[in-house]
Amino acid sequence: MRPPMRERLTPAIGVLMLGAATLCGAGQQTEATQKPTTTFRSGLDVIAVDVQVSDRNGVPVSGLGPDRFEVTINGRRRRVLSAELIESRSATSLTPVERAAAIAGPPVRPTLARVVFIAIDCLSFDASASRHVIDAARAFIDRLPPADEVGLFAYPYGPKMSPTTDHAAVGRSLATVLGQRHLPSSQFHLRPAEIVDLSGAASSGQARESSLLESVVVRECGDTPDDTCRRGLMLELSGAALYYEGQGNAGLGMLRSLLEQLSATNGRKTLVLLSAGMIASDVPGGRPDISELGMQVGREAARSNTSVYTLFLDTSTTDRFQAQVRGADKNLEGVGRDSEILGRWLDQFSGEAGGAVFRVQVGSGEYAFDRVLNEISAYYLLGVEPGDEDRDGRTHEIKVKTSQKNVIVRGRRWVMVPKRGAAASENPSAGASEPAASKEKGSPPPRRVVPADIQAMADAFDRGEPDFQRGLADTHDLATLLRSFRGSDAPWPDAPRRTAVFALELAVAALRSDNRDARDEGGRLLSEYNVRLRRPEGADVFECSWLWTEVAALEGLFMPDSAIVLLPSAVERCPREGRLHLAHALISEQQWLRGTAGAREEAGILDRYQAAIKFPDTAAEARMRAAWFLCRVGKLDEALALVDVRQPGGTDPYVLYLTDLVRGQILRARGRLDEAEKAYRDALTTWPGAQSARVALMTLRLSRGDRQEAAKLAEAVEMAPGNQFDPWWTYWLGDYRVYPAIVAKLREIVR
Amino acid sequence: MRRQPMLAFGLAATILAAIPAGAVPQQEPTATFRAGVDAVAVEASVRRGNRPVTGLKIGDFQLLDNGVPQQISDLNYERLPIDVTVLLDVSASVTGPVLDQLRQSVRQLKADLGPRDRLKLVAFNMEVRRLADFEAPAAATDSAFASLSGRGSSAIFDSVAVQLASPALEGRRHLIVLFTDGQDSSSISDPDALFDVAKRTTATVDIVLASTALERSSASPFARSPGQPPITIGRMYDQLARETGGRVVPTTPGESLASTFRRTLAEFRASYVLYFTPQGVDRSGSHTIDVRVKQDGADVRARSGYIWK
Repeated sequence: MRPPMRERLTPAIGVLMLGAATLCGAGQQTEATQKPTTTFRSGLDVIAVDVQVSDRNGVPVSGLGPDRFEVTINGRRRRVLSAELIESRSATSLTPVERAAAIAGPPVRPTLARVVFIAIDCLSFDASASRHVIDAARAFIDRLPPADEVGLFAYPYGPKMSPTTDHAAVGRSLATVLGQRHLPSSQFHLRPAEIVDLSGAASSGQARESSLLESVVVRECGDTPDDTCRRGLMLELSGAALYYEGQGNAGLGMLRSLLEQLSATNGRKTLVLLSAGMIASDVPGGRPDISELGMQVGREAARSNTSVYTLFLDTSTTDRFQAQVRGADKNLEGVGRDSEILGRWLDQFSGEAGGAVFRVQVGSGEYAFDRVLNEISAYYLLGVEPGDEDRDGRTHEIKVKTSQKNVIVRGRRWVMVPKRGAAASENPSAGASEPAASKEKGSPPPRRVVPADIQAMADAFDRGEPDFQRGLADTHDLATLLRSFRGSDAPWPDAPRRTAVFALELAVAALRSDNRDARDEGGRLLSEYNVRLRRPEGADVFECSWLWTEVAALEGLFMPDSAIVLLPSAVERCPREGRLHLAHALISEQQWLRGTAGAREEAGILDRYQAAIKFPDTAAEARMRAAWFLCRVGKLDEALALVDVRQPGGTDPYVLYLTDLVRGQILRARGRLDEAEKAYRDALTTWPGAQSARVALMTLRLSRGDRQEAAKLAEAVEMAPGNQFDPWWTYWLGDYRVYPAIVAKLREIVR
Repeated sequence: MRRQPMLAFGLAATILAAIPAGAVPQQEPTATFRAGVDAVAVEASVRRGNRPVTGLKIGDFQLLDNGVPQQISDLNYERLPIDVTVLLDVSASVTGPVLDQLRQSVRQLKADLGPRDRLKLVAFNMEVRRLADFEAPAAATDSAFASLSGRGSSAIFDSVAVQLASPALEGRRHLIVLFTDGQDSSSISDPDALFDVAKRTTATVDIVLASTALERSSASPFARSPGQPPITIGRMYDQLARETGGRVVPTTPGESLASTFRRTLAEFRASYVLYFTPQGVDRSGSHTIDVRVKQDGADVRARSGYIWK
């Protein structure tokens, strides 16, 4: 058996295997691969351009000579010196007619081993829907000739295999692939098109005037919708947009990583992508916004000399049916638009890659796999003479046409011609699998070449604090920096956790920014890494710590509408993290304070506090916060029951102080003034000099006629030393008070 | 209105910030709410249009306590010295140019004081800081601004409560000029607690609202009275002004803060102090006050009530 592809080929940053050296057969192919060794005239600088020509049924068209092709580079026609049909199907896969056609033309190479990658967008499938598609993919592999190498890339989490001729092993791995579709927590039943159209309108401030919004509000909230329901709907819209942006960016980022690895491999590759699509806006400025990431990744595919076939398993109709079951939608109106939205990025990706998209709405897509099998069975290798202006080492657009009628031409759309005499450089990237976390310890892991601005920040991150924070502070355009990061690959390809911490800190810096664009980018980056971190086998300590750190930052930023999108999933991932339960309650309360949650949400907030009360490390704080919430909604007796007696054994002075302060407030509201006064004095014993306890005692003493003590307390407040801290000041920031410590701990884990 | 993210992180930054030490107060804490044993003092500003009405006598006034007409025993006009406390909101929403304006305004205000008048400067975000006491020299007041920068959240209600409860000297009038954008984010005092303090103390509070203040926004999403919905900025400061006999002075972008502060002091100076001893009403508990002038077209502004000890 041959060694894995990534081990046997010399990787090159150059997008194309080019130039006389390659064309003269100086590659490192083994005999078994039978890679095309062309026979162009030596001494002439010629580039090899591969192109598939098939009829409308996907059957390769043979018999075309160089005179039947027209090649342009940057719109300028270039001479085609040769055209050789490289035939790669096994004898058994050819029909007699095809065989006759194939041998009727110019020289044909018999049986060329190919490299076929199966990529599965697990985020787009749910666990059950993916089974029949996986079965069809296994059948597809079974039909490939034994000499073909097959690789597997199930992302974000799933089996990943370098290309191998052991098809049975790939089949076994395929059987383990599970759909990982995860929908954001939802109160309403919004369709893809509604999410796109309404969140886009919300961003531009036009949502209120939208008739579509009104119809959705009536459908979801009833004929006389209250403001709370309307606000909740708008909140869910923006949350869903953020969630799908994260999911889209994560998925496309991983696909891009695969293509980058493929680009390091010489020769023509075939990528068969299985996806159920993603919700992404198809209007400028709309949301979910994945910008041009689909096209960008498509270009990456084109540069990596990869034929792309995308099977879009369109579930929009079945999804709608599920919505009907839940009593939301009663018709199939707009299913076509939903389908368009889900498949848009796939169209962009495949279009830019020069590939094809097959929409599969029923069945498991066997016909599409048949078509792929047909199309990739042969291609032409053209010898093209580039112009001098093409030889600049940069990427140029290339177009191939043929004078043959009624055929489909698929080929690369981008070409890079090296400068004369330039040598291909080594590509440091290799390997598709992620190493174990233990490899992240010690010295900084290997780095990938990334844009200069990201490189600089990664350098600072490697140097540690305070360089990294200084670097962030000195960055004037965080939005661009984050876009650059999301649009490139991670600086540390072998250390995804390091990248996750790096991403978290970049995102938090952007969220702190005054610039709305930067804040939007920060939200997208966080959302993306929530997806990237999610392993199907469940969350580990690192993931739970990362999520807690993220949530702590969002608490401190007072961004409940963003945080609430992420929290249910975080709690679900880490159900034993009391801090996350407590954060969930506090974030819900922050929303309530903002008026984006109505009175009916009060019970939900209390339930979340109750959940946090069950954990020993958060029980005292959760009781205190629940009590304060109950006090403000006027449920004084219930509030008092939670904090009536000073709990013995508490050790955290922060919580002790706040509990006494809150108890004092509740007792005062209840008219138990002596006890209130004692509670305030207890608070001051725990945290001497705290301003809020002094002020509370001051106003209480004044209300009881003691102007003298009130005046003394006022004087003490004004004259407190400059370093006098009051825990109350951080009450609404939740765990942000410990953010510096926990983010430092995360950094330590990945260094 | 201040943006929450800045609020939160600014707050965290401010926690670490040092507060400059202020001067030590000299006076004894004595309540000046009632003049003498039983008398109550009420400040009343009388204006016709934009001009103060001067020369009024006791007989020109009518004063009702809980609806019962009262005998005014004394009237004071421009004779008592004034203590001015300038209370500045320096939370994250206050930027450099505003601070420069405030420095100019306080300097101007200090220059406008009479020989027996005094000025105290207090700044707050979530933390209340005395920058210069009544006795501090003018240079100290001016230089106090050097240590200021806008950051953190703001404890408006607590800061006002502290100023109202601060020691006051007999025989002096007390004006608190609060400059803020109106949204509290870290007070322990809720609106009702502050109003209660206002009723029990004597200082007049004039609220200079920054041009960024939004009247219909919540005055505090956090500090709400038990069982009560949040109060708007408009209602909150109208009521605070009413309780203390002060006024709300909205500003517009580009408007000179210095002249606003000057007008505030001038109007306060031109108000009357009326004294009465409650008759015919139960002295304990909460009282409403209604002050009228027997002249057509004259508007009277006075505190809306008081709480007897």
